[in-house]
Amino acid sequence: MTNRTDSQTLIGHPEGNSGPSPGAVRRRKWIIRLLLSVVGVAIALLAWQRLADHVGFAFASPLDIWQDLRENMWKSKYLEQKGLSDGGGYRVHLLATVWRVLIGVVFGAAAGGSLGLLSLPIKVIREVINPLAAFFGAAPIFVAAPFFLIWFGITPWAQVLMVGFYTALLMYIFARRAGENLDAGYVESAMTLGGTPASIFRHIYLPGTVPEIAGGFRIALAGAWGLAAISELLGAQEGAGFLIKFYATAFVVDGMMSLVTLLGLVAIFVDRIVVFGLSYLIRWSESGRSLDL
Amino acid sequence: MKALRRIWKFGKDHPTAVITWAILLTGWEIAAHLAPEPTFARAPIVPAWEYVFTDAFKALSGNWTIPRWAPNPVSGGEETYLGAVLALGYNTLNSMYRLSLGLFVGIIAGVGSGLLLSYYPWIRQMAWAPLNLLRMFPLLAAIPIFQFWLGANLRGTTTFIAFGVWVLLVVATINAVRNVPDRFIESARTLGASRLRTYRSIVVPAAIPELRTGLLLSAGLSWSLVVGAEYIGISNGLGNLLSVAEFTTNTGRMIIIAVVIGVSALVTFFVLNSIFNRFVSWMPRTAETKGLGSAAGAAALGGPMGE
Amino acid sequence: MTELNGNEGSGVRDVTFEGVWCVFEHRSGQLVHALQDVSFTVPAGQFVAVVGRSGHGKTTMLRVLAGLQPPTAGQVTLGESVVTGPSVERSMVFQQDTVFPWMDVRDNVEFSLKSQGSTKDIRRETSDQRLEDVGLTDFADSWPRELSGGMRKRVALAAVMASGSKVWLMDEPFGSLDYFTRRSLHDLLINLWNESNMTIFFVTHDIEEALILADRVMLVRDGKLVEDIEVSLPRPRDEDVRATPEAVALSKTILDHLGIREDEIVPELRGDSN
Repeated sequence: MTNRTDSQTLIGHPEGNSGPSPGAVRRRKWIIRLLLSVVGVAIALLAWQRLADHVGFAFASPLDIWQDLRENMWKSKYLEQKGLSDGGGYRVHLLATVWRVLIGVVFGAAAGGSLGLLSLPIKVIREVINPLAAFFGAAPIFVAAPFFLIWFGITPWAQVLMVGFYTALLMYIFARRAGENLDAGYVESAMTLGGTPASIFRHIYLPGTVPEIAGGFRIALAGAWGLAAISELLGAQEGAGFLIKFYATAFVVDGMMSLVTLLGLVAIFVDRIVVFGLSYLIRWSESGRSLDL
Repeated sequence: MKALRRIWKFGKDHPTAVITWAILLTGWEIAAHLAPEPTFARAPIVPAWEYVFTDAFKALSGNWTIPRWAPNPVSGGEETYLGAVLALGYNTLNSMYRLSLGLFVGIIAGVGSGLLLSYYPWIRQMAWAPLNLLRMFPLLAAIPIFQFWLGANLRGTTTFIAFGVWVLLVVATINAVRNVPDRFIESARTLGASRLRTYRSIVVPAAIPELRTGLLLSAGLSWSLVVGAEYIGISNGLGNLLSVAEFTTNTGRMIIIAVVIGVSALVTFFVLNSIFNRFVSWMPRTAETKGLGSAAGAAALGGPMGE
Repeated sequence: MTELNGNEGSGVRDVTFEGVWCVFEHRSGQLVHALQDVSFTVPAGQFVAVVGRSGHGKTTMLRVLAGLQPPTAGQVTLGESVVTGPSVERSMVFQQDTVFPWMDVRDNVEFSLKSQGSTKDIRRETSDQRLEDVGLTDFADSWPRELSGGMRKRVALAAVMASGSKVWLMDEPFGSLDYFTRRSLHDLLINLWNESNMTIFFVTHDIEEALILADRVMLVRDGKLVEDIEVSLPRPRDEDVRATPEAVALSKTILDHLGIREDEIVPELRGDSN
């Protein structure tokens, strides 16, 4: 890496967008990047393991977590003893959280995204929702959680609605901004080509805003896991957050850490799937092909 | 006077918005009067506005426990507006204190370590993957763990906030350095600058302005974290007020506290944004400042953020 | 194609500007007179080049004609009908790249027909034909990002052609291309024009380009139409034609009118749009 040209290109852009580079060179760079990433993750895991060995019981190591997951993931004697599981282990609780998040995110995103796009041509929507979005966008999300808990009790609806509400809010903001950022030239061009309002919405606004909306969707999704978990912490009968709270009162560190890790891994996994889907949707876009990693 | 005129002008320019709010607030009021009688005193499911701004607000003075300036209702004193304002102010300051401390440490640590890690491209590439994975972890779900490790106190909360901000900003900084255009670096190198000099005088100054969004997001994130931590384990601060109000299902009080939290978060955004503006005043003005509202929206999620 | 223009057969569709004014307020509060009392008539089928310095109202003129910019005073008519908004009768090729990046080449060409509700067969037939006209048959399934700048302009031409528009508005369409690509697009444009005989308004600041293409050159300065010159050079306007004394004299006249010799500093207040 002391080689001058090498270090120069690497300071800037590891991807290197400098013209047409032959596939072989790109593939080699990609492999180097992948290797470095793998080494990085391995080092981080090792450091975690050493740190945990050093600290002792109050800090679970990756191996402890692995052990805990093996014992409790599919079927948990411990949880059955405590009456928190009728034979399903973490899986049941995790699935409950996953469903809440996915339902909330999907419906919230559909509602928020389409309202955001429709607010561009339709003034009433804009005037009605903008002040609401500004107001609720400012406060941290779960100050609303107690209201949902009081109104919907400990049913799963409290969590689903929390997640849905804020996904909708975020997607509204992103969709609006994406529409505003869309080059006016495309719309004007479509108009002089005889585009009707409907066809311009369908063929220009909708596809043209996807890249930016996609970014917003990933942000919303990433935030939704923590949100669902904390609203389960505040009051729920099942779910990953509920288990974390239970473990916290029982001082079970391994359990807490493995649930947070599990939730993080699910978040990463779902995000990868979403990236995969999105990169197909925005395959036409120069930047869209390299969402990241 | 001027503020009044501005409000009037806003109303004239945006009649639909004003009407919407009027309908929403009236609708709430009607719902409040239609809702069934609360089982507990002071715990309506939907509180009427006249209740929110009188009884519910005054009841906050129960959180003013210092026996000065206002009577203490817990020990038999009268509930007063002054006491409520004092209680809100005291708890807001507490939250703000934790938040600023954690935010400050987190920003220094995040940007600093991001810049250090970015000096060698191969280290940057190695650090990027695990940090990105770390960023995806739901911090809010980890509040109980952090409180178990560090205690539900100032040090613990501050460390927790600092950690959250660090994760967000170290990734943002690495990305910012990565996005510095090659041509700046190349032109510096052709002018004979050394590697260290190029990094210090070209790469770092070019990357810093890119951090605005990251900083605003970290302000939102730290509000989520501080309110969350106070809600779950700390005995004062706005989050704690909220949790007490929720415990007694005092919805009227919850509304007031939620609004105070929202306003405090907005204040933090503006302060941070103007500090940052001063810091990068040499930059050409961009539309970035306009993104404040949406940054706030994104920050509200309090989760790990995209670029 | 013809079914798009309902009144195709209704006779000559001249373009007429009658006392058109276009005044903007610049951000500084200053008024910009982008068009001042512009009047002219262009008979159907004519190739008009609109020449002037940047910021002098050429683009505004085109946008008013396109219906993207309402005039402050006066009116624009196409045949009998007054221009009130954008329409498929007056399609525009923009200076910037407005080929839709999220549609492949064929979908770009078919956009106009799709908006008009044509059937799939007609769309397919038209796009095949138009892509052949511009020499992009092999690239029908490509994404715009995979094409060069010149090829994207060909896509834009094919899209405008597929729209069946009888008036083409071209706003410095080839400005960003290199000389050789530009020349080959000139040839293509002239061929298309010879075939379909539409009216073309071609905005440019390049006098050579104007002389290669146009029947008529309108000189715009400070928002006014300062000169209207008939170009009767024989076609094709190759290098030899442009070296004739007439051609040289023409370009000298144009330069004189545009004030190139006066060494003045023109304020860069662009009032094209906001």
